[in-house]
Amino acid sequence: MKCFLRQGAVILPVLLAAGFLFLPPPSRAVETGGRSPGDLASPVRIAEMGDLLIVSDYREKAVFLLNKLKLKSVRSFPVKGAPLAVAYTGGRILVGNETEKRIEMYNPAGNNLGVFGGSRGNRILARDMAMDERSDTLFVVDGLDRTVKLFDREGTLIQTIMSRDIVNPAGIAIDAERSELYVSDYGDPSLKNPALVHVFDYSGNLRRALSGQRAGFSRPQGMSFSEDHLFLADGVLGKVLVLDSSSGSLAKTLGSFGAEPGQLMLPLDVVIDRLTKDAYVTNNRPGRIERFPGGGLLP
Amino acid sequence: MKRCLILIAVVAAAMISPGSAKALIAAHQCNYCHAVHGAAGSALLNDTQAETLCMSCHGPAGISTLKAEVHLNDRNSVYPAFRITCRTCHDPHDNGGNWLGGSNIRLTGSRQDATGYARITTPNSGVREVVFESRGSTAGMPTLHSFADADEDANGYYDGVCETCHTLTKFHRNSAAGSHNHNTGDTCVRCHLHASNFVK
Repeated sequence: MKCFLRQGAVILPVLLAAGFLFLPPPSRAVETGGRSPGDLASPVRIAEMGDLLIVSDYREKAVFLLNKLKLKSVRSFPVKGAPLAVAYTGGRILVGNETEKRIEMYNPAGNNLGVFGGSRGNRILARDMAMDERSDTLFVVDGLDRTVKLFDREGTLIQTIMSRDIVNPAGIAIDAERSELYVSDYGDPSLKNPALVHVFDYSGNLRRALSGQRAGFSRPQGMSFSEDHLFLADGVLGKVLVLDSSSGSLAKTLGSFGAEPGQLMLPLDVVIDRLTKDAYVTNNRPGRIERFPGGGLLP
Repeated sequence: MKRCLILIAVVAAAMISPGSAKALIAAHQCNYCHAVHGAAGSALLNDTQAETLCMSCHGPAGISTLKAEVHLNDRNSVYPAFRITCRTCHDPHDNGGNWLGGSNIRLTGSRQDATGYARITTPNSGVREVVFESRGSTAGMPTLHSFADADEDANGYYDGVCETCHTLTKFHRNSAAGSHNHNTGDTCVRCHLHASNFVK
């Protein structure tokens, strides 16, 4: 008996160690990518195009197409100016050119198809864009006159949402089911206007506002809507805040401040993959894209 | 109530202590950066660092019209890569007085000792004076005490905001060495944009 015990004391740890050797490696909670020579340097806005991500790069003055799985650049194309907002619709990539103050159109190969809205286009500082395919409407945050502009697919201006409530708008997201529009706003502390996310209907009527003081954001940037929740990148916190779209209460967060994988420094936009629910975040200071597998799932 | 009083005392102490904010410019009111209630980090800041805080307004997609980026060297440079970030050249709290008796613009330099003069801790020349009172002649301004004035006041000290650091550049170093004739009378950032890492 004693012998068995003695043998067991030796064999058991050996078996356990061997078992660990054959165990599959733990899945990585967060993956990082998009950073290699000639790759992303200053990613800003992000949008989906099938299996690819469209990312504007402010420093490289280019738009990158990244493979969602590998987070590697498939190709990129230059923009004459600083690109900000990006969207994909009808086989065209729309790019807000901050320098030229217009929205430009490119095909997925990167060929310039001209200015959105015709040869003259519209003078606009497109900080962010969101496309509602159902209503064929492109929603654009215009930093020049601090409004939200609605365009049809051809670039014709349909409507301008002007509101005294909008102070310093940054990002935009839509809830197509409810025909609601979310506009992130830095506010202006000197005017006692706190950071907010305004919720409008498509006609421009203010329905409610999500409070930054309550949810804990102060530099609200790009957003994405999924599962009745708003995913909001806060530039200062180094987090993506997930807010209940009705109450504005904080449901969970993605990331933390820092430069390690899974950490964020100046996150500027987020997109949720509709199928996998993976969350992709533009991580500006480290110059890369952060993927949070299943980050779009709610507890 | 007790916590509020302690907080007020802390803020008041910070305002009157040496090295702290004295005269905030209009665009940098306290609560733009500091959260008086509920800040997660130190100095009434949330858990972040200065560059991220600055870039959240002045960087890509930020709301400020004054766009800026950190200072990097050119990709084709023969020298090792460097990264000069905001606080090296700027004091977000006020425009400091300089050693020549004037007042700097664009929050340039910071008080680093009891003299209170605006100075910059340079990469390889130690702590140096910085004088930046004019953006140069392209805006109809005097070149004296601009980005790099080639020691126009002939005091033997190259203290412009660009030249006070530079020791390896071809032009406008912080000494008499090299050439000081490169585009004199022009504004450095017309070509070397702050928003483009000061790289041409």
